[in-house]
Amino acid sequence: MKKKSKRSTIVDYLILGVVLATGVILFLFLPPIKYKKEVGILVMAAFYVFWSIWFHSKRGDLEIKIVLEYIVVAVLGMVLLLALI
Amino acid sequence: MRRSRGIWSFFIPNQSNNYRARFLHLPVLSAFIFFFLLAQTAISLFALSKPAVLGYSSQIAPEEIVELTNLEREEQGLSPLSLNMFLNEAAQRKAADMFAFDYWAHKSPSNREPWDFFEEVGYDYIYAGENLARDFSTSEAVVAAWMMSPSHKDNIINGQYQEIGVAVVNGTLRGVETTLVVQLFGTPVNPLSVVKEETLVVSSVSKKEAPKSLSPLLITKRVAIFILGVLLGALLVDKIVVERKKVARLCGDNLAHISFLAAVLATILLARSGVIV
Repeated sequence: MKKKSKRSTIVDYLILGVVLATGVILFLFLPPIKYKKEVGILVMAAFYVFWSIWFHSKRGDLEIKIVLEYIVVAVLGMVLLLALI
Repeated sequence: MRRSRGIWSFFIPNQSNNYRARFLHLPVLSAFIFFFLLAQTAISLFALSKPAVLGYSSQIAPEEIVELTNLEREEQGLSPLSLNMFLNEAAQRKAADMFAFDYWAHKSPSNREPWDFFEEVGYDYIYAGENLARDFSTSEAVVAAWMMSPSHKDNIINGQYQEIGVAVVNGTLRGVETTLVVQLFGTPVNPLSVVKEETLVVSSVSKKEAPKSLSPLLITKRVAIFILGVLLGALLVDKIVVERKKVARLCGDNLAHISFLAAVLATILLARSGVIV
């Protein structure tokens, strides 16, 4: 496992936080367009999985088990949102 | 004693759960997805078999809109509006027109004004007004949003209006499933006409018939919030305990999961807050 600097980790979290927050804001305030919700949810979930791969590969602990965990969390989020929004 | 430790192991990382809260283990996370899909299927099937128990789409009832509107008027010292079947019919036609011609405005693409619907149903008016809302899930939210908008509030607390008509219609607008609420206000040319007496009888009947139903959307929302609450709690406790014990382990990052699930929760809680024109 590589040792990452604290600043680099904060930047990684900031990227995730900013993208997720932007996604939520766009999702809530864009006018209703056909397939907006489906595409928005899919993009957010896909971004989350790709971010996790990038984050853990930088940290040096990228394992299939970890990627699967992120995929399951992303799918759970997608299922909940698609059912409700 | 052993059982209580077993329950806590779902939240607190220790040796028995390989230093990872059991709720965050891959099979348990997958079980949450399965449980939610199962619950949703059960709710949908129940809603189809017992439509009187579970209402579709939203919890908005025209009677509640009228009641809440009159409460706002009473607070201003104004007389309550009486429900008029002709205004109800005009509101229904306006909603149907918006779905048929796929628009969301007071004026239709073919330049039909709200007043055209008043005339269409034979309601002769001195004063008339219209409030529109969409994508709300409760009557309280609709009226609260109108009361926060000066132009809509002016309609609700306008002392010149005597009657009201409301339509709540589900349909697809611009490819998006939605619930439209049309609220029409009017003051008839001849308020003592026979027509009004008829309308009052019809209104009281429709009020009695309105069933208080549970919304499948609301049940699903509560289940989703429960799942997210449990997982966010487990992630938070897991992170605190592991950081204190300084345990090294190979798993997903809790802060990342918390951020993602918090974004999902925020979207669920804030979405469908509705739009008014």
